[in-house]
Amino acid sequence: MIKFDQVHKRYPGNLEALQNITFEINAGELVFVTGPSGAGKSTLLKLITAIEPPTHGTIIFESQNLSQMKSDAIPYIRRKFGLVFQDHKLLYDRNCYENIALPLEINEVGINDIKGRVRAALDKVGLLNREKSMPISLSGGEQQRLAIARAIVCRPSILLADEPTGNLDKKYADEIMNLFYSFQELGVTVIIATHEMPLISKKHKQLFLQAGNLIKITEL
Amino acid sequence: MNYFTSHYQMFLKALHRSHASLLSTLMMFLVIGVTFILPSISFLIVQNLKSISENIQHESQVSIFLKKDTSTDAKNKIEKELKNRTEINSYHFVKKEEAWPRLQKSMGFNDANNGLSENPLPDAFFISPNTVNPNQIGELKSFLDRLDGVDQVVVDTGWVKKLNSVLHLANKAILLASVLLASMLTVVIGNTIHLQMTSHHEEIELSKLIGATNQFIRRPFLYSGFIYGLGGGLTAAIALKLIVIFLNHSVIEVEALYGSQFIIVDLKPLEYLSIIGSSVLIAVAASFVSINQSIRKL
Repeated sequence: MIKFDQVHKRYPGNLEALQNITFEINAGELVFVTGPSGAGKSTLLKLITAIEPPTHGTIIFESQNLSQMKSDAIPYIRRKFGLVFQDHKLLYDRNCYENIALPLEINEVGINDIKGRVRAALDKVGLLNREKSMPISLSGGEQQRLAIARAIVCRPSILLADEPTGNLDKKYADEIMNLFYSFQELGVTVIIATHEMPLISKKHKQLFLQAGNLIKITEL
Repeated sequence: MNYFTSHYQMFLKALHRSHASLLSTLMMFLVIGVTFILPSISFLIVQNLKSISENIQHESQVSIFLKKDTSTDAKNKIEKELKNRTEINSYHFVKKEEAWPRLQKSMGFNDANNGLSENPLPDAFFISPNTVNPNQIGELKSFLDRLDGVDQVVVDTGWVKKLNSVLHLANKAILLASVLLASMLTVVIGNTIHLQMTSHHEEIELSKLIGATNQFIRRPFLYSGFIYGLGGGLTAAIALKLIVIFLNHSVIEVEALYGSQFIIVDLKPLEYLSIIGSSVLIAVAASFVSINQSIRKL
């Protein structure tokens, strides 16, 4: 599903974020991208979602070479991903319903379908009763669940989460991780970038990064 | 969702945003409206002066004063020439014997106190041309000047020509002022849309991350520009109409007092539409440029 072949990423100022990264992720897998802060985890996710282009190397997603993709095709590729950010990136001037409806509007889903799909996504993360609430009134864990609902509402084939439990205590972090496991069980490919080692399940594939290099890949 | 539904939704979104910041939206309508009213009123004034000058031109006369010793034959030849000219609507001949008593009467003289031993006036033809074209009038004058027995040809539209040239200059000044005001409006609207985009920066950034195309991001802001243009254009058109109604009401009062007949000529419906259309066009174009610049920077 995703294939990195000798991928390099250098930011302006000659900062080597990733060097010679090669790996493959298959459909339906749950993969942890781990490593200390500054290892290149977020950059890796940005390359997968075409937020950043690679400096060298090839990135293949569903048989398409992201490295050679035209800029006007990139939004359509991004629609295939569900993205969860550490800082949630919720819109605080809109209620929960409107936050989740946004990706559906971008995907040009019909007005009649939006309501049902928003409610289904809220139900999935246990926030159906907070439909009309503003995000500011939600706890940190609820806000992250809301962000997950927004990520899954378009039924993506792949879900990417960048430090999804970064600001949460253990109880909420476990809740969030359980949600990701449940999505994988439904066949969704899940990629989680985290530096919190206790959260990482030994049952799943791990890509360990350090200083921009892929040090180790552990598989079952 | 089809293309039109998507546009409809974006229009509603823009309408909702405009409603959410109602005061600033109304201020924008006012700014655009006033900017359009200024050149429109000037245009209206010039149009009215033009119509007055045209009326005067229609009433203009060409006077042919004959030499004192002009024979009857020569007079008949002149009359024949006048009959053949297509640019002459009508003419009449006034004998010097008829003109002199009329002049004396109007000036309050009589034979005893005028100090003149004989009638100083010549025989004359007075012509009403059926054209207001200054070139044709000029050609007619040259032709009449060359006829035998003609002493002097006087065209009494000299000051109308001057007025016309002033109006022509005024039209150019209005055009220049309109261009300058349109440029100013472009900057104001562009800046407002840029500020709107800045205030929705997080939404735009998130939308791009989750797959929004530039068209998707552009649309609601373009519709905001459209709403500003439409609202501003309508404000200008309505205000202008009210000004004309108000002025005409005042004119009726003057008419009643002085018995004069004058009415302010209103703009044509197409001219009102062109004010609204120009306003929309400028606003949408300014928004488009501003949005594209902002998207590139994001």
